[in-house]
Amino acid sequence: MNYQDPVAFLLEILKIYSPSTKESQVSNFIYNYLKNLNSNDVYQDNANNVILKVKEGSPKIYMIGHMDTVPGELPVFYDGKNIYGRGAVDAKSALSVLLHAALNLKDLPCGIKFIAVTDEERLSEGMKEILKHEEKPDYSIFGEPTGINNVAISYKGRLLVKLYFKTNPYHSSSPLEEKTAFELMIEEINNIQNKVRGLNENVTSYFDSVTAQVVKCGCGDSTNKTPAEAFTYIDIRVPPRFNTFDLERILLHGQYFVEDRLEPFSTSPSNELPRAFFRGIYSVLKEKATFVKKLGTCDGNVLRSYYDIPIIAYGPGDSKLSHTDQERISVSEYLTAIKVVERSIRELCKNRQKNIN
Amino acid sequence: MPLTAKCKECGADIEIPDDALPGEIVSCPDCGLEYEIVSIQAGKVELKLAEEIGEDWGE
Repeated sequence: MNYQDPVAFLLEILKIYSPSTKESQVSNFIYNYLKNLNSNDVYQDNANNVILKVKEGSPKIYMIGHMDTVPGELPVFYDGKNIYGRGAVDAKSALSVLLHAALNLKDLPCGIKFIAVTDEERLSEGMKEILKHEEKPDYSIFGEPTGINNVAISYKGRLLVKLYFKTNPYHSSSPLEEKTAFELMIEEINNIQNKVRGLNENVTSYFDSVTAQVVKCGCGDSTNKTPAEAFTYIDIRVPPRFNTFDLERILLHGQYFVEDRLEPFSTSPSNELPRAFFRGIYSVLKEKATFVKKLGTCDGNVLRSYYDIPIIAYGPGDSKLSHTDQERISVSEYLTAIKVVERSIRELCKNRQKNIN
Repeated sequence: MPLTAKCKECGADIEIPDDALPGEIVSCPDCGLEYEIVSIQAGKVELKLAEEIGEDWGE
């Protein structure tokens, strides 16, 4: 293949099917691609992440994309206008955009690292490994499909908990002396949802609302015995007016286990990082950028749980096609996004240098 | 001297970056209220309250 050809590169990484935990082949491909571009400062870590040190300097900027996709292999092809395949939207196009923009930024005085991580669609083990060996950045850009005019500046957090209930079993025909585990579970779910309603009084947007959805539950092992044990998983989504520890204290008691914890984040649109992207988008597209808040989570939430730094997400593609069998990316949008990211990072560094001088 | 505008809510001075473009968002340093720059020319800036930022359910 032609090296530093963004379209050929994207087609190659899409052809390597890489659902979470099965990223080693795509990781090796990206590592070798960068090695062949004479990049000596590229390495892989214990989680199969690929890290490219583009440039030493200040401020430190991390450009982070994920190599894994949701499961479900799709045919990969290019019809001359769009590229199709699993990950075309979420988020191999965005990963490749950050990579090819980063390769064009070697002349800047900023410190720039491109990082391709694993396991974003599952437990973010790749991002967690990065945080063990990489130092704190000043800014971070995550590759996610926002569409080329849009910059995501806020993400809700997530607290996934498993509640567990245990009582004595009884014959299902007997007068019950105590609540069954199932009844305790329903009572607790209602308690949590009542408290959530209280937290959302006078809140008008979904983004600022707390939500607590039952995503899985189970009980009972017989058709003529009351259940002695019950469990439920509740997925609590956390707006930036709270952190996960606040909601744990307010909503939960009894026996529960925290299965996942991701803090929310929100970067002000007047911060220099979103400003740089506003200017980058205006410069390339001659259009105003739109800032968006995301109801889901991304690896930015993991980073934000460690460091209070400006974070945004940006990338080509329609996020409504994420995780669907219709994943496709317009090549023209994809190539334009590379120019936008390059221009935006230049704006960011220019402003930082101006402020220092 | 940097260009400034008064916050309509609390009266604080909002500093406008010298390279600001129409459409950019600036925030009041005291109360946090956000404004969109409507126009900027000849040392004068016009602001309006920023619209609520849109939501997207995806990742």
